[in-house]
Amino acid sequence: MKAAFRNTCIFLLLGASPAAWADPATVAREMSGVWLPDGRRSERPTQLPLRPEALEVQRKYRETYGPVDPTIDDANASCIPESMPYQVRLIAQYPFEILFTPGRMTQFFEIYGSVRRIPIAAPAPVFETLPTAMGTSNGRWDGDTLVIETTRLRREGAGLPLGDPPISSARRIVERWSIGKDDEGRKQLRNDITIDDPVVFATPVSFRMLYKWSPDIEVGEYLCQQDIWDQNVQGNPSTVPWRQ
Amino acid sequence: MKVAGVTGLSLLLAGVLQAAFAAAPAAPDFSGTWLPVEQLATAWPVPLPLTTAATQRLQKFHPDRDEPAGFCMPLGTPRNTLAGTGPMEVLQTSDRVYFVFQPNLLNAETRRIYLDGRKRAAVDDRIPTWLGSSRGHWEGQTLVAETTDLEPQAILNAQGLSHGGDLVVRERWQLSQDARRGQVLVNDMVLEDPASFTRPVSMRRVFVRAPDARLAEGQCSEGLWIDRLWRHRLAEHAAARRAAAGGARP
Repeated sequence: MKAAFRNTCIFLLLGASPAAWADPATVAREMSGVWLPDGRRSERPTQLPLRPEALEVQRKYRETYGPVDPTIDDANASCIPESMPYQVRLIAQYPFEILFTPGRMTQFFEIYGSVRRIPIAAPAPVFETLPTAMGTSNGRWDGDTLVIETTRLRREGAGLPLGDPPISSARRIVERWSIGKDDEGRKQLRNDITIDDPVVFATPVSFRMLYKWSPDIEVGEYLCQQDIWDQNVQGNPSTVPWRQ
Repeated sequence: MKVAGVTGLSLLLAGVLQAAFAAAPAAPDFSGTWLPVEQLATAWPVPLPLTTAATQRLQKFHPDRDEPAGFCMPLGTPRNTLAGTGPMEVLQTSDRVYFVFQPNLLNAETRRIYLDGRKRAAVDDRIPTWLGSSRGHWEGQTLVAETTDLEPQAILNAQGLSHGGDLVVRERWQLSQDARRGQVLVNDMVLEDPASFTRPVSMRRVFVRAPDARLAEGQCSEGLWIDRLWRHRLAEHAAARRAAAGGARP
């Protein structure tokens, strides 16, 4: 009986201690739900360690297609989403939702209505498809941290015309997702992102994104082409010059 | 002895809880990727029980002008579920079931069916959306879902059948066995919209498990963008060539 009492005490103590956070099921439960970027607290990569070859690609692009006209050349404004990590490094207030189901984390982004599928502890099946904006992701638990590796990212997108660095087919993104608290004691989702692209960057680029727990928000519909549809339906002029 | 008493009480409580949970049968597992089976689907009723207003809207429909998908807009609910053109992914937890569609060349449409009893928004706060607002519950082994607040700009099929803002989509989803195909997911759907239909319209859609099917990332806007971008660029280059050749032609 003494032993049972002692075990009960140990169980209760362990259950209430921070050690419980190491349990992936508990962390997954804490991560589940809707989040908004915390632009004030997140880090932004400043100086990118571009290789000379990448600078040359940028220069050549500008020489061939320049001068850049954002009303035409911004693919984002034309509803072509950039590749990862665009969706997780945004500080604009677009929410995303995390849903855990057995063996998988799914991220639903309001921006462009993108869905990111991340198998956990079972490699994603390889399909003979072109690289995608979301890429191919695999996750694994490292204690209380979900580590996600992403490859096979599409190289087209909004970045290059507007001066962002090119994306090589060797790009590999490692994210370390964890749960913590912000300086005001509120639940916080943390994502330590490392972009390893040896063709483009001399050294990997790392920064930390932080997200605010937002249980009162639902991920909405993102109707990127609403304005051309509205033009069609209602005859309203578009705000994008080349669509008029 | 006190400890023994507490332990005994705990065991009794645990037994009662276990019995309570055992009494409620576990919800069936719809999780996974599914493909629509055209042969098992039922067609739209002929003739369609349309109101005069709906008949007039249908007669005016022109696919080049009025097809939202042609402008990279969503199929919307219930067309995404009825269309039967691509895989459907189901993600399920104890308090929600998500149906994810990625229609060809369109981005994802995620239908969120909440089972947690959350209230609908107050009538004045309801905003129509292309996917609508859904609530559901389990009736035995059947998922019963009701979807409202649907955007009337969406259409119901490629022929341009329209609906009003008061459309209610009632669905009953359940697993079943098909002799040839094995386990199937059956959706019995009823559309109620007095502004469009003179009586409720019932249809059945059936999906077969397809673990190898994959929902592809669509880039609907790419065609529009590249078309516009390169048309603009070509015009620009042509103008530059004309300028180099001695000025614009009259």
